[in-house]
Amino acid sequence: MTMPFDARTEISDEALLVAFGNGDRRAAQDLTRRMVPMVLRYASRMLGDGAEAEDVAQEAMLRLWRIAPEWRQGEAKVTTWLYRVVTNLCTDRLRRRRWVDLDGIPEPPDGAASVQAGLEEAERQTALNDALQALPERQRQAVVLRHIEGMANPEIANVMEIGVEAVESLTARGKRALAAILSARREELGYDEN
Amino acid sequence: MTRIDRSEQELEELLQSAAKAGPDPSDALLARVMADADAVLAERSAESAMPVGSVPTSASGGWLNRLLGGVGGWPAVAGLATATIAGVWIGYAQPASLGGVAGGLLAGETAYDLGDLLPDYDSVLAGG
Repeated sequence: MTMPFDARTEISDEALLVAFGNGDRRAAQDLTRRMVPMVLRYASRMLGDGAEAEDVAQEAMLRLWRIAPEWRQGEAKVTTWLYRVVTNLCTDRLRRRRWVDLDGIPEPPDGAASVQAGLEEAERQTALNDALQALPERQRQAVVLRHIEGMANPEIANVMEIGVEAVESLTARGKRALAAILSARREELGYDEN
Repeated sequence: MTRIDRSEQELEELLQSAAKAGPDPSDALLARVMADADAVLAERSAESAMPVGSVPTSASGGWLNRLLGGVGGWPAVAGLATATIAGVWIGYAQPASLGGVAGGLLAGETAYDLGDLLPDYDSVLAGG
């Protein structure tokens, strides 16, 4: 007889967090497996820097471990809470960057340097990341949460602590700006001009 | 199809593939996260393992601190302790100078009656 691959996958995030709050170490392992990839992906999109994104992911998870014993069940989704923490941590880091090193913000690469037909998907993804970094911070948050993390607008509103209409506006403006940036690089990215 | 439409469609496709992609967390990161979880668990168990008597102790510490505050703190307590010890030492050691004074007045076989201790009014009556 074979056991299910992971019977604990059916346990909700919240139940795992409460279990960890009661001292269950295995619950922390399950939460780490579930949450860290998501948190790291979002922080990477926001910061455009792998090492900084890892630091943010670790800090966000540490805050989750600390809040576990006081977690109020039914008030917020664990994922929403984490997205909000990551959003705030990224905002802090981006502000510090602005003050410390104005040249530290990654610039979109010079188009002439990489002009060639048939670029790989990875390079298009890099171009998307560069374009995301060029967006104003709030538009970037909204676009990443909506179109990459696949969240619904009310949940994004919760994470960003703004109204749903503001989310819609930020998402629409952000997407238009992204399309404009990428449109200027279509040829470079190997898209057909015809 | 206009260039803008194409760009938007391409952007949609890019965003969709971005949703599937993303950096995989390194083993080192996962280990760091779990080490934090262990540290938090250890902190919590250390807090809950504190002896039951520790709370009353801290409460009596508060009582002691209030008392100390009332008499002027530790320097005042040091002064009180010095005075107490000096008193005890004088009581037991009976320095010679005190013995001389007390001996002149109280020593000997002389017994005193109540009348000896009363003032003498004879001179007043005689003058009357």
